[in-house]
Amino acid sequence: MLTVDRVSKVYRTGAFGTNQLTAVQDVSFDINPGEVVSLIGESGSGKTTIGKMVLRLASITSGTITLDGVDISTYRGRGLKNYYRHVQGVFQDPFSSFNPIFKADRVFAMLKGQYFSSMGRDAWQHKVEAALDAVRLDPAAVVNKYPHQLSGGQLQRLLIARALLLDIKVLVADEIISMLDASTRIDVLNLLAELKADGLGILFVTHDLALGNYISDKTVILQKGVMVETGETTAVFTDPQHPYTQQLLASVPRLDRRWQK
Amino acid sequence: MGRYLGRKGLIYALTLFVAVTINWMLPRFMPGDPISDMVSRAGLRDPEAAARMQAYYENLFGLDVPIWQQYLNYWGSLFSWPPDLGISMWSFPRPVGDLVMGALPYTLALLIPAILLSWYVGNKLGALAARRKALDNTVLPVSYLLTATPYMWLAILLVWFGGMQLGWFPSSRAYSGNLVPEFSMSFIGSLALHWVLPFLSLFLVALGGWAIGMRNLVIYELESDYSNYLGALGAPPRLIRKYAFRNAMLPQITGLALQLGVVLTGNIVTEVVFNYPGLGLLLLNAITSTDFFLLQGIVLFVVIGVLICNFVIDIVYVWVDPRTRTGLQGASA
Amino acid sequence: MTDMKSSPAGRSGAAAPAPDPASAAPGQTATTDPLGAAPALAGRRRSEMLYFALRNPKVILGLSVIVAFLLFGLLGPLFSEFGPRERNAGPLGAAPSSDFWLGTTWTGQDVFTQLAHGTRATFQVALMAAAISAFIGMTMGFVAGYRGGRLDEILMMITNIVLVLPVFVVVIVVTAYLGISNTATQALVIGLFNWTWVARAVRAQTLSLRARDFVDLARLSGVRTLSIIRREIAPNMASYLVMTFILLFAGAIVFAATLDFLNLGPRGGMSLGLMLQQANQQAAMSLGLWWWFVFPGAAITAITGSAYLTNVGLDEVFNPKLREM
Repeated sequence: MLTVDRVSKVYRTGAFGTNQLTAVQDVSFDINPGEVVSLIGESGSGKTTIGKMVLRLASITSGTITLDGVDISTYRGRGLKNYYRHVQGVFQDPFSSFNPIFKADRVFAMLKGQYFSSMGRDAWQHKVEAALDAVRLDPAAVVNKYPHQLSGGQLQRLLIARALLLDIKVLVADEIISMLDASTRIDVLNLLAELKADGLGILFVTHDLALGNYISDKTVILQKGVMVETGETTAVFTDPQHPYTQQLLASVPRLDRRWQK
Repeated sequence: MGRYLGRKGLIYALTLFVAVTINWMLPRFMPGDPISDMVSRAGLRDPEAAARMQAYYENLFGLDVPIWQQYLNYWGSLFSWPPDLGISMWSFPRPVGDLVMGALPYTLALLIPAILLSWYVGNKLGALAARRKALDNTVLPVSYLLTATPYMWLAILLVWFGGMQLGWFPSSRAYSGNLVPEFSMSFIGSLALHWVLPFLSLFLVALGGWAIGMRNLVIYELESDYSNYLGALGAPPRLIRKYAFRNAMLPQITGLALQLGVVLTGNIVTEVVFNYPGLGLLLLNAITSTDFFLLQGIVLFVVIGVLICNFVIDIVYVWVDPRTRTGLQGASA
Repeated sequence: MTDMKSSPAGRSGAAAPAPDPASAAPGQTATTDPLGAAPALAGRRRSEMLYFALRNPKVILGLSVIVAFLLFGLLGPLFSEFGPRERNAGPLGAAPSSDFWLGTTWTGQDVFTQLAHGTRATFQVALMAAAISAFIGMTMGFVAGYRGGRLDEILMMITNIVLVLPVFVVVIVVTAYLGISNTATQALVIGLFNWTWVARAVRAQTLSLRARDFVDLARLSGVRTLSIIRREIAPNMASYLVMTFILLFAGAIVFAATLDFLNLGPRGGMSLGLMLQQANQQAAMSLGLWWWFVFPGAAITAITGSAYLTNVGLDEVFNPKLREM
C-alpha cells in the first residue's frame, strides 16, 4: 500500500545553504493494510523526518514514497488534500498539537470546513460522536473545552478520533505515547491495536524498543539516518544481526532484572 | 568570528550598492528635468549663461553616453581620489566634497559626544533605576517623556528657554559672528559656548531611550534562571548584578547601531534649529535650493559614515560577546 | 538574540529603529522567548484580556489621551471660523486669550485652528503610514518565518539592508525629488521605509510558532498556507501585533513631523511639524511667542508618549509576570 523506496533527506544549513546535513539516507520499507511498522532509533536518527516525509510535511530529497502506486510528491493542491484523506498523523506532544488559544474540538471543525463542508450539522455531529466513541472519549468531557483543560491522553485520543473522521489507510504515529502517563499509555496502545485489526496501516515511530516489540509486525532500526536492520519484528528482536541492534537490545532495562554493579 | 563579520560585511556592501544606485537613479528616472530645474532656479538673467550652465551640468551628468556606462562612470567618480561629487549649485562653484568636509567637523562634534555620553549615562541610570524603586519611579516617567519628545521641539524649547529667556547660552551658529576661525582662547571659548545647547538637545532625547532599555533589560536578567540559581547558591547580590549588567549590555550595543539613523535625524533638525553649520544645515540648504549634487553628496557621505560606524560596533560586539567568536552565532546577522 | 532594538520607546520615529513591542525586556524576550505573551494567553478568552486591558491605568490614561487628540483633530476644526493658513485672523502675535484660545502667530494666524487641523493631518498620515508599514513588515515577517529556506534568506537580506540604511536621509532625497503633494504620498513614503523591525520581530515569532505541531496538523487538514498564517499563527501573536501597530503609529507621527519640519511635507494644509517649522523660521523664540511652538510640540509629545504608555500597559496585561513589579 504505502511504499518508501530509497528515500533520503538532506538539509541545507548555514548561509545560503552552503553546508549540508544528511538526516535520512536510503531508507526503504512498506506498510500493508492492517500492518504496524515501527521505526526505532535514538533522537537524531531521522525517524521523525521519515514520518514527516510520509506526511508531506518535509520534502523528499531523493527516492520515492508511493501510495497505491502513485508517487506522493507529485500531489499538489487538491491532490494533496485528497492524499490527506487517506494518510494522517498524530504527533508526540499533545499540547503542541492544539492551538492554545482555541478550543480543542477546533481540530474537528477544521476538517469539517475542508472535507465535509456540504455535510449537514446533525450528520456531522453523529460522525464526530462515532469517532469519539471509537477512541473511548465521552463527548461531554471533551467538547467545548480548551486544550489546557484536558489531559494528554484525552488530547491524543482526540487527535486519533480526528484522523478517523477521514477515510484513512495509513496513520503516522510519531511517539504518540511517550509524553503520556503509564496508565493512559496502554489504553492508547490498545486503541492502535484495534485500528490495526480494522485494517489500518500504522507507521509507529518510537525510541522505545519494548513498545516496538509490543505492537509492530515489522521493525526498522535506524542509526544516524541509515537503516541498519529491518525485517519481521520477531526476527529482529530474537536474532539481531547488526551490532548496533544487538547493543540496543542489550541495553534495555528489564522488568525482571535489577541494576547490579 | 570571521564568518560573522563576513556576513555583516556582505550586508554593508549591498547596502552601499543600494544607496549609490538609488542616488544615481533618482535624478535620471524621476519625472521632470532636474537640470533645467536647477538652472532655472539659479535665476540667471543672461540666457546664454543659462545655456552654458545647462550644457555644463549635462556634461557632468554624462548624459551623452549609454545608460549602463553612465552608471559605471558614476561608480568610477566615487572611487577616484578625491571623490568627485560634483559642483554645488547653492554655493557655486565650490565642489560638493569641500562643502561636506567643511561641515563634517561640526556635525561630528555634536554627534559623537551626544551618542556616547547619552549611551553611557542612560545605561548607568537605567541600571540604577532597576534596583532602586524610588529612583525608578522618577527615572522611568522622565525617560518616557524625553524619548517621546521630538528632537526639533526640545531644540526649539532650549533656544527659547536657555537662549532667550535665561540668556545663558548663545542659540544660533557655531561661534560668534565677529570671530574668525583660529586657534585662540576666545574662539575656542565661543565654540564651546555655542556647542552646549545643541549638544544638550541631542543628549537628552537619546538619554531616555537608553535608560528605559537598560532598566528593562537588567530587570529581565535579574529574573532569569541563572540569576536565581546564583542567588540560591548564596552569591552576593553585587556579583549577580554584575552578571546581569554584562548580559544586558549586549543588546544595548547592537541598539547603538540601530539608533544611529535616529540620532542622525535628530542631528539634522537640531542643526536646523540652532543654525549650526554642520551636515544637517547643509542638507536643508541643499533641499531649499534644490541643489541635487550637494544633496546626493551629503547622502552618500552619511550612508558611508553610518556603515563605518556599524562595522565598528560589530567589531566591539565580537570583542564583548564571546559567542560570536566561537561560532555559536550569538548575534545573527 | 540582540536582533531587536533595546530601547523600547527607542524613538521609533524617524529612521525607524526597532523598538520591540514587548517593551518589558525588549531585546531579550523577543528572541529567547518570542512568545512571551502567548502562554499567558493560552486558553484565556480574548474578552478576558480586554477586561484586564481596560482596567490597566496605563492603558486607560494612554488611550484616553490618544482618543482625546483624535476627537480634537476631528471636531476641533468645526469650532473655528478661520482657515489654518488664514492670515490676519486676529492681532499679530497675540498671547492666548478668550478670543484666541491658543494665541496667534506672527502673521495673525489662529494657533488653535492650526493645531486642530494639524492634529487631524497628523493622525491621517500616521495611521496610514502605520498601516502600510504593518502590512509590509508583517507580510515579510510571516512569509520569511513560515516559508524559511532560501526565501527567508533573501527577505532577511533585504530587511537588513534597509535596516542599516539611514532611512530618514534616504527619504529626504526621495521626497526632495518627488515633491510630496499630499498626506497619502507622505504616508506611503514613510510606510515604505519604516517596517524593518516589524519584519524581524514578526519573523522571529512566526519561526517559533511554525515549529509547533498545530501548524502541521492544520496542513494535514488541507488548510492552505495563507489561512494557516491568518488563522493559526497570527491569532497567537495578536497582542504583539496590536502593540506593533501602536509603536508604528507613534513612530510615523515623529517621522512625519520631522519631514514637515524640514519643509518636505505636503504643500498646502497644516500639520504639527509644519507649525514648528514656521515658528522656527519666523523666529518665534526670539519674539517670545511661546504659544506658537509649545502647543504643537506638546501635542506631538503627548500623542507619542501616550502611545508608549499604552504599550507598556498592554505589555503588563499580556505578560502577567510584569504586573507584580
